[in-house]
Amino acid sequence: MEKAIIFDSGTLITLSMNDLLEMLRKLKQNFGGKFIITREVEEEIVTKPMKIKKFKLGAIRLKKLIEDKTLEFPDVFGISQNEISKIANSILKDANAMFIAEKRPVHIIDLGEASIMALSKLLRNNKIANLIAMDERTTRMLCEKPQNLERLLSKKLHMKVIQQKQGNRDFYRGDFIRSTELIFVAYKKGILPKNKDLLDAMLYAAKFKGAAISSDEIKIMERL
Amino acid sequence: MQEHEHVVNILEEAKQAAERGDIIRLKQLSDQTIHSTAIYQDSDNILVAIIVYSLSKLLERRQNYSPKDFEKYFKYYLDTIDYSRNCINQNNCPLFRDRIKEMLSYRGLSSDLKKSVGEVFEKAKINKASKIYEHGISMGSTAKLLGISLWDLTSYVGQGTINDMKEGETLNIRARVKKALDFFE
Repeated sequence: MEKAIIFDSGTLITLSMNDLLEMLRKLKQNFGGKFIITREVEEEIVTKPMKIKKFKLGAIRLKKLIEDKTLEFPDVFGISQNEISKIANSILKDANAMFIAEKRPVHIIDLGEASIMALSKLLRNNKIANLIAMDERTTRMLCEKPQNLERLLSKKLHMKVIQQKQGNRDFYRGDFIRSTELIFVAYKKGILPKNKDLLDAMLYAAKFKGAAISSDEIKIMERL
Repeated sequence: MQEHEHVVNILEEAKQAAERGDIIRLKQLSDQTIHSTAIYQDSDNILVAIIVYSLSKLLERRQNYSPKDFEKYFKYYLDTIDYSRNCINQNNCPLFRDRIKEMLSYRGLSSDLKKSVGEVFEKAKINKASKIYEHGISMGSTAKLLGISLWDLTSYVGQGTINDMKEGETLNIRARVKKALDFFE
């Protein structure tokens, strides 16, 4: 069975900032499937940062991953940008009408995140097993535990936020991992040296560069 | 702009806090606009949060600038706050936006103060973005709203306690790790 990992911008940015792109390359060689990004993600990880001096080097490194086909585009599975955009727009409408605060919908996700969920759905439709590698937590919460997102919004906004509808749950069936799980897999597979201290350092480096993982989760992970 | 009255009150209180050098109060006032910013995602509300937060940072750094330069700019900043209040009261947001733009490119500033003002505003944007993300808005939406790069936001949010909030644990970590390991088999 064919398989793929769909990468969000945040995960690739975290790996790039922590100098872990070589690890990603080796993971790909070990994987037996495709690592995929959408055009929206390419815009965020290469096109835009190429124009910002502070991030240009990171963007060049990520561009290299596209050039050597570590990262590929959905057309390798025969999925067009049009198909993704169409579903992504439906997801945007659905997700951004789900939570209500002060009688108005809260806009929670953007096109980049919606495009990833759209691609995951299209791959599922084509019987291609897939995981979403995403470091940001809102989209993950929306898919895995929307009641937690409702609770978080209510708590932080100091008002009752209601999830007024379940939405089209078929949009939100994706399975998620983060840069931290990729690091852990690389460690277990011997791509990274078997050194617990190094693993600890890498997991925390990913956390401090934006991977939405708690310290408690890292402690458990390190014992596995 | 959303919540006119609330925003005008915040600006009024911000001016008073700045005059007495109350940096902590300024930061609190800036955060008070975040709730409405997260709900309405109104760019003018965000601008108010940024100018109030930037003021607190400029006051924090005031010893780094020449006193004469700083006092001149500080007075202009407070005048801008008064002017902004009037614009918002009259529902004239374009005028408010123009004045803020003008304040950022204020002529006659020494080069170090000018550079610092620019830096403070950029950092204020990232700080406010991280607060909005903390409220449950996705990174993509937040970065777009504030006009900042995801690279800036990603590296900033990891430094706080956002990722340790219990609500973020949506699947047992053992199950997630197993899923990842199995997928690579």
